[in-house]
Amino acid sequence: MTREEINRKVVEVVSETLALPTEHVTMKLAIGDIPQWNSMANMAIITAVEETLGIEIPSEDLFELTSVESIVEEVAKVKGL
Amino acid sequence: MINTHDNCPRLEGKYVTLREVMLDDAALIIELRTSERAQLVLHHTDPDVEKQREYLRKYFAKNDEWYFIVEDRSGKAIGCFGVYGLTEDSAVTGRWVMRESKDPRPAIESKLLLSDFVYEQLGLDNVRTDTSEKNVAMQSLYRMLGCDELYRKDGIIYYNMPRSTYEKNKNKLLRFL
Repeated sequence: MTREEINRKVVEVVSETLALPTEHVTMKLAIGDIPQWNSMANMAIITAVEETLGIEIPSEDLFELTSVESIVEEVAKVKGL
Repeated sequence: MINTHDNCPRLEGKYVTLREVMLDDAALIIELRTSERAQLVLHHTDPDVEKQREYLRKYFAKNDEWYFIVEDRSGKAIGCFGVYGLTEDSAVTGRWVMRESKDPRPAIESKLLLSDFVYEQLGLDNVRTDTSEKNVAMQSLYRMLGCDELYRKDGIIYYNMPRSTYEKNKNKLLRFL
């Protein structure tokens, strides 16, 4: 899986979870920027990213993932990219 | 199990405790339910404290509902949550409002404590719940937990979560605690 594919998949998951058009999901978008991205939705995003990409994010990193960019970086790290 | 209001349990977790509501919680409930964020997704709440106290008096006259205040470890009230709508094998969990927080753990643990109460202490096999179609965050949580969407009516989405689904997916919440 390439970095671009990770970006695309994460954007798709965030878009679907938050009911937000993909064009509004930028790398800088973060928890609290929009009403529907709160701490509960963040948990759902992380879980959906794990299930979609077939990975398990280490527990110690879960609370660091609060933006699209940080989730992409974490997936790349877990995938060894 | 019926709620005599002498036997309502305290549901103790690592981050929160759920204790039965008191008449003096009326103002707190109004504060929670009329916050700008809550107003987006909840039914209208009358801001009259005396009317809320009257609502609570009616609650205390019933024995088939459980209404809890969520407190953090310091004893500060941070939310409310209830069980009602009992049938032979199910109950509704709702009236759930938590103060906005960047930390999801109090809300997660509240959900787990109340679900365990319904399945284990009340011995029921199904938890029903609902949320506004506007409440995208809550919908994402219910999808994550594998809740069955039953139907939509008047802007409200109705769900059911069988015990087997809860047991299968509970770990998805537990790992965030």
